[in-house]
Amino acid sequence: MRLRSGAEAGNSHGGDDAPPAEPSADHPRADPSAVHPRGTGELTFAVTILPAGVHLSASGSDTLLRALSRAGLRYRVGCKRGGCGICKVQLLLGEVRYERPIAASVLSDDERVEGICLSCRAVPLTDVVIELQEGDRLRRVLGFAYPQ
Amino acid sequence: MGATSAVIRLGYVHLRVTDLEEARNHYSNTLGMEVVHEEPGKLWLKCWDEWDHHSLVLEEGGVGLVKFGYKVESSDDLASFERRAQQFGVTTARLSAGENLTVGDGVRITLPSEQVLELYSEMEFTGTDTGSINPEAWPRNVRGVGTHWIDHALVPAEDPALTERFMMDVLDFRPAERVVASMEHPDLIGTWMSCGESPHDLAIIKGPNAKLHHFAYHLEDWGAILRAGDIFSMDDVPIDIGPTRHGITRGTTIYFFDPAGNRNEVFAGLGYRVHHDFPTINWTVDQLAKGIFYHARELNDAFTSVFT
Repeated sequence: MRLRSGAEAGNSHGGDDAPPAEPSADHPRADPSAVHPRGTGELTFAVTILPAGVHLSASGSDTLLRALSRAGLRYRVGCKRGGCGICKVQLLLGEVRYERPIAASVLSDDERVEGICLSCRAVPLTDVVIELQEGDRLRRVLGFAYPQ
Repeated sequence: MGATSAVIRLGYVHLRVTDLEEARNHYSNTLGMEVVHEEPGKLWLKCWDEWDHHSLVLEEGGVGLVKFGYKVESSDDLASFERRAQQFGVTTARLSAGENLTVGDGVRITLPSEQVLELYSEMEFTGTDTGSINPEAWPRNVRGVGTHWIDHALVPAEDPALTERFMMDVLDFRPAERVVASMEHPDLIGTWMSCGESPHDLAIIKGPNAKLHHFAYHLEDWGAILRAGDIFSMDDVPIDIGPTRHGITRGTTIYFFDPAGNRNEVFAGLGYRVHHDFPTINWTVDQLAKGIFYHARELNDAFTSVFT
């Protein structure tokens, strides 16, 4: 199920989401009244990961994988380049785009419609909520840098 | 261990890539192959120490293996292999000269594990970069990793034993190393097979049919492997494992992914030479971690689950 929230893209932290857990300095806030081209690096989106309920920010044109890696989080991935399909996650809320071509044999149209996304290549267009595959779990590898 | 195979070596790999320009940058700038021919949506590349026209063909669209080609001694061998393959029961087809650019007549075989394997005896000779008359040891201007040649491939199979039997009975390959469930119940999990003296020219492991695990480039030594790893970092190439050593074949290695997600390997170290009387090495699956990751002795799950 995907919820269109494109209109809120520039206002991602003013809404009803929980504040992101990342420790870095304030991200520049986008002016909601202006028109922002994608991938300027100034937009940030809130990413929520289930079932752990972890929150973080994806900045600019970060893929989901890069956003999680930057936050010191690891989960099940394979080639990290969109070719093997191992890193698929369920997109429960929000929208993503792909900046590079994805082989249909890796992610089919049916899967996209079902909300399955390839996290190593998916770039959030809006705030997103994702769920890891069954049996996968988030591991915090930079716990000393990013205290809970 | 059987007749000397008339198969000489892995000659070419045809690969699908989602973005041809990103693939060009990876194979040509990061790895150092030369683009020897191009057409819309397709590139032909060659390593510096190879002497035939090309060893890699990239096709834009999708990901994974299209086919690979093994060079054989003569056209008589092509005819003989074709007959033997048909007797085994696999699908074969004839290739006419020129169907593959610069390649002569050939035979196309669909392996029991569904990968397409072509046999040919002639490809246009263009020579190595160092040449054949009073050559230098290596070319001064090679880019990036400077891979020497494409050496072998590893493919998955739902029934590794059946494809192993095909490679032995039809193409006269010999198993140099095998991974079995246990010595008491030697159900085949994987096999590293040689048609010459090298520890392997084709390997097969348990996994889905029709896919590719990786194909591999030869480098000179451990120092070259380390340098390759440094270049992969500089070029943002994701590494699967390494630099490390394999227990199987003793080769030092790095596995990494091209921009479409196809897995490549650079490896070094001859390990041993497979002669007729070479005693096949067996690994029990409980020691597979040591076989693949000789230092860490722990399996990384991407290695056994990522295929394209």
